[in-house]
Amino acid sequence: MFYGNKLLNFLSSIRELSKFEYKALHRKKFFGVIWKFLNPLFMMTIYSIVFSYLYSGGNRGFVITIGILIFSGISSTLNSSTNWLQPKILNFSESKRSLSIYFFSKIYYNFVPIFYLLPVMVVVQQVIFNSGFQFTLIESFTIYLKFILFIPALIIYCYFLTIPLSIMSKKIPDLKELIPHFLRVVLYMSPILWVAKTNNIILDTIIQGLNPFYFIFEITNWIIYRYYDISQISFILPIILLSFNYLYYFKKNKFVINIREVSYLG
Amino acid sequence: MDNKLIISNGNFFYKNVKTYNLKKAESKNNQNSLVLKNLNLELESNKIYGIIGKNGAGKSTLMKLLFGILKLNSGTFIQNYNRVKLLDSPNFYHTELNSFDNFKAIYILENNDNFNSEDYQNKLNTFKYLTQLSESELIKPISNLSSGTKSKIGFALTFTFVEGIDMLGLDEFFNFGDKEFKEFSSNVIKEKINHVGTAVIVSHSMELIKNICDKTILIHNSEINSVDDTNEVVEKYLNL
Repeated sequence: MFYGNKLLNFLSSIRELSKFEYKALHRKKFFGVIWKFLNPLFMMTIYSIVFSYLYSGGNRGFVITIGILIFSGISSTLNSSTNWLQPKILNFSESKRSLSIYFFSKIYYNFVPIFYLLPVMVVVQQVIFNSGFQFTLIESFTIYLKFILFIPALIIYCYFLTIPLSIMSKKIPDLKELIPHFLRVVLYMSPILWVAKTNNIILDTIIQGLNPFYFIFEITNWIIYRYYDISQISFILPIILLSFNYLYYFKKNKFVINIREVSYLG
Repeated sequence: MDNKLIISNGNFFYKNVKTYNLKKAESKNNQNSLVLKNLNLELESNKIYGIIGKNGAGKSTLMKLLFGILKLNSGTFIQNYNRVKLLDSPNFYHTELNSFDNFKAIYILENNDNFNSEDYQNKLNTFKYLTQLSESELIKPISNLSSGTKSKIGFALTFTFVEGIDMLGLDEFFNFGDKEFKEFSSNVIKEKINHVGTAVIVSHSMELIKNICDKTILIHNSEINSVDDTNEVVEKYLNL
């Protein structure tokens, strides 16, 4: 019960803090906070139209649209995380709890549109993309529920990646320039637009094994399709990354000291 | 056991600050030149220390050494304070938010999001008192305020949440034009520091140093020139 309350308090603190993020960034705009939802909505509408009608992608168009929606959350999180550490962070955040809430709120802020747009996607799937799937309403709703459970896991994965990335970006500022290019490559190498299962073992292993986000879109495909052969190789790099980050940044809360040291840089 | 901080025979070279965004050429040319040498210093607890010296003398470097952010190349460094905090800018969560939202954001980070609690109300009252501003100023976004008003809010946001710190560092933190508020903030700091233990302040304002500090450290020619009573050290510095 005690831990339950602590967790609820932690989650509501993250949500409250991310609200301030919205308020601050959209204060001067006429539509204000609504832009955070309008942008991905426009993007999804364009992708849905392009991949369903113009390119006749059939039910694949639905996977592309959902995949790009999830990828936009990951890419905006990773891109912005290179600027999250500033000297002012040390004025208020020197405990593990404070720093975790600070980072989670920033990540959550980038993922919030996905939570709101997933129900819209259920409707889009039923109306535009259902000819190939032939999903009943309950099946579509089950897909939605699976995604609702999957996205928090994704937020936690991003948490374990962004803290080390923020620290490294302070030490190696060039990373800020490299990350967008890396993400662009990763987008095309993930099973969103195409699936890298070419029967060329070397090529497939490279594409699936060296992409830390490949497994996310394998799970996306698995959630959407009734039968899907998930690439097991794609899980190896994320496991290595998480283990490495745990040992070097999270074990004994080393990241608190690391953040303290690098926040004075630059 | 008393808290203590002792540096003996300490030396600090440029090569240690290479990563601190010094220009490449500069760091190459000065790879082995000393920033601070022959450091011998012992800070007593429950005292407020000032650090003064000319621009580039190494005041901020000494501050970072004292707070363990930079490490000495040679010499001994002993520090047994439990919680130390070095502040070099006022405490804003976001300058596009108003003062109350900034306060709430920092309250969430420091405590929780229960804005109905007694603790929240107490801290809010402290915050309002420390700003010495009217409500109408506090509801404006920080970015729309004058630099003097921003400083007041930054000061209040910082010192509302300074609790349980053993050693506090303020590096060029003060820049208030308003004489009245300068005096008010000096008294608040003095009171807070009496609760928290030792404090070290870097400032170019001799008025502030004289007003607050018990002892002052003068850095000259890459060395600690003197550590003594503030008035004497300031006098010495002005005659350099």
